[in-house]
Amino acid sequence: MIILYHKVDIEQKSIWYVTVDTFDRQMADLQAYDVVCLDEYNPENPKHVVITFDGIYENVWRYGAAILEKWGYPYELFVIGDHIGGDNAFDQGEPLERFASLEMLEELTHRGARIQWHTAGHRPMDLMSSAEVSRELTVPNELKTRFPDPHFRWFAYPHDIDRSADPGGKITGLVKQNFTGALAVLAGSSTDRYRLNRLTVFEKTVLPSSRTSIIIANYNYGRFLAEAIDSVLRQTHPPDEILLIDDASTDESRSVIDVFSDRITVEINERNLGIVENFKKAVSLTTGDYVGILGADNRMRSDYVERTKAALDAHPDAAVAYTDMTIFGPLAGLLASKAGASPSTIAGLYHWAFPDPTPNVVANIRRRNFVHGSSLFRRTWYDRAGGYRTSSNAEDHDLFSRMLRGGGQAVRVPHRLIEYRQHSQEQANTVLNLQLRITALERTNRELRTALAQGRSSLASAKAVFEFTPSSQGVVVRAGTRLTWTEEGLEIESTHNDPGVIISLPKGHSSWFGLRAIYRSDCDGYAQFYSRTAEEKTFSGKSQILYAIKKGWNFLALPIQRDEYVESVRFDPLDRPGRMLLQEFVLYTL
Amino acid sequence: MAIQKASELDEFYSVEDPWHYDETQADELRATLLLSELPSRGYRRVLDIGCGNGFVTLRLPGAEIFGVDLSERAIEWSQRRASARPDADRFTFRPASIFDMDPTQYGRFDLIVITGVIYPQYVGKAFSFVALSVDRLLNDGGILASVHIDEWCPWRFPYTLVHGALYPYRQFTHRMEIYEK
Repeated sequence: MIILYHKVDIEQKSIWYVTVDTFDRQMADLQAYDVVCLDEYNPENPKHVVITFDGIYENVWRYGAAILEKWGYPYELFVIGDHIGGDNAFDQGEPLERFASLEMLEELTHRGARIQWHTAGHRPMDLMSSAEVSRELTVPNELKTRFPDPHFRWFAYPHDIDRSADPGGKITGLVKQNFTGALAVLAGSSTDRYRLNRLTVFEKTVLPSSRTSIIIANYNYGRFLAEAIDSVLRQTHPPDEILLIDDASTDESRSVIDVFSDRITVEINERNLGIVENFKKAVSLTTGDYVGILGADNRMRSDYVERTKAALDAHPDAAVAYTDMTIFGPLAGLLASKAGASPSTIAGLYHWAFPDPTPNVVANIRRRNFVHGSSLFRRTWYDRAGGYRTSSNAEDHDLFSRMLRGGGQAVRVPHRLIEYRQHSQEQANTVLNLQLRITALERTNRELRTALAQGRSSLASAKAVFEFTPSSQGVVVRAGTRLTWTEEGLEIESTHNDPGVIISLPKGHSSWFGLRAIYRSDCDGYAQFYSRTAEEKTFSGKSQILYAIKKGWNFLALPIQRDEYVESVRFDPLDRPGRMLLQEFVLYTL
Repeated sequence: MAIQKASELDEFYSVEDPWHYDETQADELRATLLLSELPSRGYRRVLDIGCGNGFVTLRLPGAEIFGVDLSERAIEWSQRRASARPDADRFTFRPASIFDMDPTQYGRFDLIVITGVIYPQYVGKAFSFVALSVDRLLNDGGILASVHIDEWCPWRFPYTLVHGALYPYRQFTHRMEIYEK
């Protein structure tokens, strides 16, 4: 596959720009391929990738080159001869950018680049004279001297040349004369060396790559959990999937999990499964090709996913990528002396390095484990080895031993990507954990307030279940009560009895209602509300809600709360004969 | 979000203390917090990225201290403040962008402090480049201290976290992280 970029910059000013961070992600995804230069490119090899740029824009020198160097890739720069050191003012509709100068191009040739030809002026050649075409397709001598062979062996067409526009194949003939191969613009071919296919890469382009799942396994580490979650959320290259599995913790873990549950997938075990069953369940709930498990009392460094994924990508026969660790925490020194970890210059921190996977080290894995539990492993090897199993060894030691004995390779990533907390069993929240929880809560609070202020609520909104209107159904009036709809509202009158109405509600709706009533009374008294659940035959006294009514306007907002679904409500607006004007009566629920 | 230009920052720095750091208790507090969390050791070469008028820079420990900022006017204020001190020759200030700091020019540092720089309006979507730049400027085993408004800076540097803290700052929350390389 030959991929094509134009501009790499810190912001995306048009579709022809890829931001630096996205470019870095895309380059990381190429670790699973063999990135080669055009001279070595075999179009039949699906693992071969060539990185090309057309232009060459100054931002490729300024930003792109550093990223390409980071990943150690060669790349091809197709220059437009007339515009070297100039700008793209001719390209209307695109933001003004400078092209790289000769000095910049020269510098890039020492940093992995080859210079190739993209015509003199990027003009359409089908209407040109032979002399003009010849000029477009010929590399000037000064440039050939400045960038001698192996530069300028390749050509990239600036525009598609329809075969009808090039009768006798004069243009392609000249290309074949001057160059060893050429790249097409749109419709290329994988077999025609003078019209090879290219894939233009955009900001939204995701190159085919393996997916990574990170599992955070928690059991009663609520006091450290926020730090673990935060470390996974702040990866330089985020994992494709994050699953937090809680093995029926009995401490404050649930309240920590709640605060982060909008950003990660959560699985709460109803009963404690124990490490082996819990890990098996967690792995089966994820779908990534690569899986890593982080203990909830630990943290990962922000480049854990970036580096371990790259290691598995670059070593297709590797079953697991393991790393070095930093030991921290109140009992760090104890573990460090047992493990032979060396003290850092920072008091309380220790550097724990693991050996390279030499045949001797691998053969001795049963006796001395060197692949820690938070290594990133390939799901195919996990399945092949039979997954986590109960054994006399620690579950990770057992799993990785089986993987390696079954023929899987281990690859070492020599960076301290896991921060391993060696602590006592005290119930002490670290200050950082509490702060992280507060910050996450504040963020949710802000988001809710913003949504409410914009007239939208992320809460479920209340809806009216019943509103008193002339066409209301399910209303029964008590004997002696008269209802008259007028322009001003509903007149309720009873001359020799308490006025009252009974309202039937939709079955099985809710055990909770809010009630809102606005009415004018011609005397003081008490309003009464009763509710009847499905199991009750009558309105019982225990459901009664009394509300003092005064002569004049009354505004009522009351809750009706029962243990079972409420089937009907009785509303006596007054406890003696009288006349009322009802403006509003609404029953609502969530 | 459009990238903020140096000229816009220069406008802020037409006065010496545009955000009133000198008078605001919250700023006195954040400077004290940062200094109290820095591992105590004899730093030789120290770099402050985003030094502004030197508010934090001039308190830093170290034999040689460099301050850089996008704004030339801010650098002028820093230089003026430094020259009023008896130890003025410890300090060097220069206008520079984190995207343009050549380690062959600047050398490497034992301690790098970076405050209020890694926001989208300054670095766009190029944290990966900033991380590379900082890495080239920082000695192995060196200390990096990053202080940023938590809501605006989602990134964490790929080094071992020595100390992390979140604290209220004006109407924001600050996240301070001390790393060991």
